[in-house]
Amino acid sequence: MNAQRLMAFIVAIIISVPLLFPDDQGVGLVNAILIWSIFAIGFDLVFGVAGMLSFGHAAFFGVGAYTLSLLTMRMGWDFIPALGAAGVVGGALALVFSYFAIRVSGLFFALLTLALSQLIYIMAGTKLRMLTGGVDGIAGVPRPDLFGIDFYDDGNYYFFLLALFILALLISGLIRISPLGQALKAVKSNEVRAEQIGFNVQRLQRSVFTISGIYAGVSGGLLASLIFYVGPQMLHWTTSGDVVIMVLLGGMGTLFGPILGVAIFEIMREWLSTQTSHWYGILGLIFIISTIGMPKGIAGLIIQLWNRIMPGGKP
Amino acid sequence: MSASAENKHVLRCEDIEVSYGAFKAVTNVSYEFKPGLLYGLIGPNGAGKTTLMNALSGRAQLSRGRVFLNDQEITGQSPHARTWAGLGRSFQITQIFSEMTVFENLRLAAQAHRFRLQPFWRPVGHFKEIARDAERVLSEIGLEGFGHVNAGSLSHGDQRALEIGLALLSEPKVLLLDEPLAGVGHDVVEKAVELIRRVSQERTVLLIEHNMNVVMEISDEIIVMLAGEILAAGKAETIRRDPRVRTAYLGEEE
Amino acid sequence: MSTIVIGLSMGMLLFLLAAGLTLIFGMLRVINFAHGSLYMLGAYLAFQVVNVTGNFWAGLIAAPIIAAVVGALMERIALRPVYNRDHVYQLLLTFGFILVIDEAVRIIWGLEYKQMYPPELLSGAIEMFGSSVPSYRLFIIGFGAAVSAALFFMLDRSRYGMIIRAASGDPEMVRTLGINVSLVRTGVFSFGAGLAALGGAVASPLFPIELGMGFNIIIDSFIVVIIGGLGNIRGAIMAALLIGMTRALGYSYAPSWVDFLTFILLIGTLILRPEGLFSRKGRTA
Repeated sequence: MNAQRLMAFIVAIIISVPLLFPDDQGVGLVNAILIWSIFAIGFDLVFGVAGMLSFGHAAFFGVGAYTLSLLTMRMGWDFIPALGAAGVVGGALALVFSYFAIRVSGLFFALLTLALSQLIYIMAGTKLRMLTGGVDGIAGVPRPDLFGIDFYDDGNYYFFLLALFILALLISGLIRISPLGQALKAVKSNEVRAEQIGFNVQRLQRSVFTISGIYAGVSGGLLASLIFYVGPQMLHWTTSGDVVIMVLLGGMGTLFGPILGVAIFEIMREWLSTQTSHWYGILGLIFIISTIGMPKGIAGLIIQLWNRIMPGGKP
Repeated sequence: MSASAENKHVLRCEDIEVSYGAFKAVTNVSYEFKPGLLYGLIGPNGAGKTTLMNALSGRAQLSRGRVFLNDQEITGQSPHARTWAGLGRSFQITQIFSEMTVFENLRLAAQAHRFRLQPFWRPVGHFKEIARDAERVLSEIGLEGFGHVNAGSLSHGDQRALEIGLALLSEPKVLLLDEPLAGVGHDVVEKAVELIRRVSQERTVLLIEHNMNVVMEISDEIIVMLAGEILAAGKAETIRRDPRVRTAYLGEEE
Repeated sequence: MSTIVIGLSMGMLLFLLAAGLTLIFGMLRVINFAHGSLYMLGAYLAFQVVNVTGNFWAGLIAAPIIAAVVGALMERIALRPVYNRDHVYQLLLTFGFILVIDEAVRIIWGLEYKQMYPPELLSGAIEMFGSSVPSYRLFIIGFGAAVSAALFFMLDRSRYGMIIRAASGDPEMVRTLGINVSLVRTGVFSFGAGLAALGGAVASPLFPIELGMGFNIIIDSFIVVIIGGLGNIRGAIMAALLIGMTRALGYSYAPSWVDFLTFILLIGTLILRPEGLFSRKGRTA
């Protein structure tokens, strides 16, 4: 056993709560954790692996949600192809963003992705009101209709989400150890050198941004179906901020860290919001403190503790 | 040197100029680099040596002129495209992936050279050929046994060697080395010079170096830059006697 | 005429924010996400002070001072421990500030809109070139111009300006000269925060005071800063006026396209001149 496996174990326990203790509240929470985890896993490919801080992922998330909702509700598409389309549209929008945003680097990149996603948010609220329902959003987003299973039951929907979550985790894990993932780490580590040994840095960045957009689009579609609703809030910059917080809190650049971050975030949201109406401010404080004191997040903390308890073991 | 090779050139620049605002860092530079020779590029600080190297490797934008590699024009191409075309380089300030191991560093260079599109469907360990490439260069640069060491914790001299190794993996026909001996300890300069000599056997090397003894000893030709222009070029002996070079370096009267 | 006045006054407001962002970036290499929140805080503080004292000018003076103290605390407590880390962490911290400041405002002032009025003296309108122009807008233009002039004078001529410029270029060197760089950093951050709050206070009679106001303006300020060339304060004032005018023209001729116009300017700038429209030399890496 090592720290990696310990984290995998913790994640496994969290996501199997509905199997161990079937009650409605727990299932709802875990379903949300699964969906946000898909988003966070994809976000970390850009942030943790390739080292690009995007503040525009809300756009891909929200656009995925709208795509799924509109295709199923207005065009009569089946859920699965519509979910695929949500991923494709999220990825395509990410690709478009990347053509603009990759021209600049570092902090500029964060600003530009933020500005572009805000443009999408504004468009959804004004120009595209006919399509998006404006600030009211669209209610009644469906869930899949497969094998005669009633996915409107949260306990059943859990299995559908779990399957997608595991798939997303496996793909991300593979990308990380593939030549592409290594190349992205190289770009993060030293862009000048990466370019000089022959990597097409911009193309690498565009590809990972697109992949991450697909993740965001799919998870956005799933969230809309979980809560039967899509609204402009999903496109809002605070959604981008949420996923940044989750990933940083959990541990950027690790496979399981972002999932732990999502779990903590969602549990806090669930618990704090029943205790106080000011939970978002408290979250902000926690975020500030953990950014200063725990830059590698919970994953970093676990690895550190593990190495202290098990000296001599490989990290 | 056979007569046919003498007329050929592998890298050629035509009247190139790099300017920052009104300041011309490199100007009026035309030169033909012949295959297999080692060129020493010298000149006082601020003469434009590194800028010339940046212009050749695509890191600095030309305000005038053209660059050819094997008679293919590469003017305006990005650095990675030039690497693909056969132009490798090292940097004045060491540029390695310092938090990765030496082997991982080399493997990255190998995969950058092997794959135009980086595969994402299999773990990197499955691609045996890039591991082989990396191992080969590891011994070529004399770092056998250091494969699992973090690149950042190598000695400075070994980091410079690793940098040359990274460039070698792209199988360059022309290798640009920007002060590979700077900061290398006295005891290992010999080893580094030997490495440079070795890598220059199969390719053209352009070397910026301040250690005059080394440059004069190993270069086939010396290029002297001053104020952005080529002041003189030729064999070491000719350069040593050139009164203009003496003036530029020593402030002697002609 | 009134379009020009509105455009110029918006430009001046944007410049107050962009100047602070630019100074902070130049000195600390931090992009302050929370700048909009400080702007909003300035508006609320001005509202509070005016409510208590009944004097508009007291609000205009007190708001930036209080915000400057808040800014100094932010820098001391949170940013200072992370200067030696990747710049991303500093940006993320300022993002955390947004959440905290917004929550504090929500706790203190609640959710409902607040309304401020310009002082008696400036509440009327003036006839100019055949059209009627609100005198408060004219005041903003004059006030903004005065503040910018003072700012440029301070940066170019005064000892503080020299220290700031030197310390942004080479902090180590300045430190060896015996200047307390970390104090300069706190000072610059605090000063930038004060400028943002001053912007908020000046703007407060123009718009309803609400929680979202910070975010609406921060996006525009970012656009100004990018178009002007990050860290280039002269570029920032040109860009601020450009964006202000674009917005004003947009509002009067094509209101639903205003945001697009600004974004087209931004995207056009990035494609044609990523180093900023108004920067003379190339951006250094």
